[in-house]
Amino acid sequence: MATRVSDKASSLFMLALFAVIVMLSLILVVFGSNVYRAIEQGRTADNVARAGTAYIISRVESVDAADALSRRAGPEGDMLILAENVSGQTYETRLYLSDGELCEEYALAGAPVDTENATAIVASDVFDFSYSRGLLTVTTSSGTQCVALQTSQGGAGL
Amino acid sequence: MNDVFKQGERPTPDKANSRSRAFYLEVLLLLAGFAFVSVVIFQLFGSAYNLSVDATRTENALTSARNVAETFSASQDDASFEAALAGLPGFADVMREGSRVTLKTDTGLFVGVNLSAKPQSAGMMRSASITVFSGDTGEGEPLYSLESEAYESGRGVVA
Repeated sequence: MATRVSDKASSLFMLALFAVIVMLSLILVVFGSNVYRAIEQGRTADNVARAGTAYIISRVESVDAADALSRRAGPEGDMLILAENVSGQTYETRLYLSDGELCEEYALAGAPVDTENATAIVASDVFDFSYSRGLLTVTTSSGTQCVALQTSQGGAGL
Repeated sequence: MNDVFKQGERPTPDKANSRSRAFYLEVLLLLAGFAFVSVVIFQLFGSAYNLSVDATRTENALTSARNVAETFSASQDDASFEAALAGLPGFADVMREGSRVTLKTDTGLFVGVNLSAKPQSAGMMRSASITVFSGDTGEGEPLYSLESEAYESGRGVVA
């Protein structure tokens, strides 16, 4: 009789032990997946912020010349125009918001805006820019980025 | 003490107790091993998360330092630099004490800028030593440092 009780207790103990190990493993897996998700979200946010702002800065710096930058009405709010002269023709790089994305369109100056030809740079709900005393300030959903224009009249059109 | 039983032989109580003790010892070792591995894995996950938080903080520090440096490059003098910083989104509490400008960012960082100027043959070479600290005082851990220079013409000692 005592042996039977002992066997039963031993079985219960084994079952409880198994349950504890399974529970701990589950907690570990859930904790790990949450941490991984948080890390991945942070990494993605950093990449988006870096890629978006770095691209805008490099584009602005590449056309830093007198009257190169101007503002015009775009599909959703104002668009930033970066003008450059290529073989006697003036081409424009237009940066504007369209369908929740910051887009870039390269076109001949004066051509109408065509969102179908635009390339999405980064997802953003905001695109705002201002110019004051040689400093261009661009704000997107990723944050604010400043660019010091080397040409004192680079932002005369803004 | 031979614990191997022949077929049909029932273990004596002493032998059964001995087997039971061995089993519990084995279970105890298994649990200890599992706990040890769990602690190591938890620590690894924790370290990875901390690294990720540090990376985001460093990214914010870099962006803030770069914005301050660009603002310094575009400014004409220390006063206009301070005024331009005060007008930028994301920056607050811009203060200037002598040659040091301090400000706080909306990402919870503190930026200290030490300004200096060196007369050139024509004009002045202005320098800014920018350091971004964690926390909202200048006593936190320095996260990122950046040096910036801007030439100011027409205000220098002619050699």
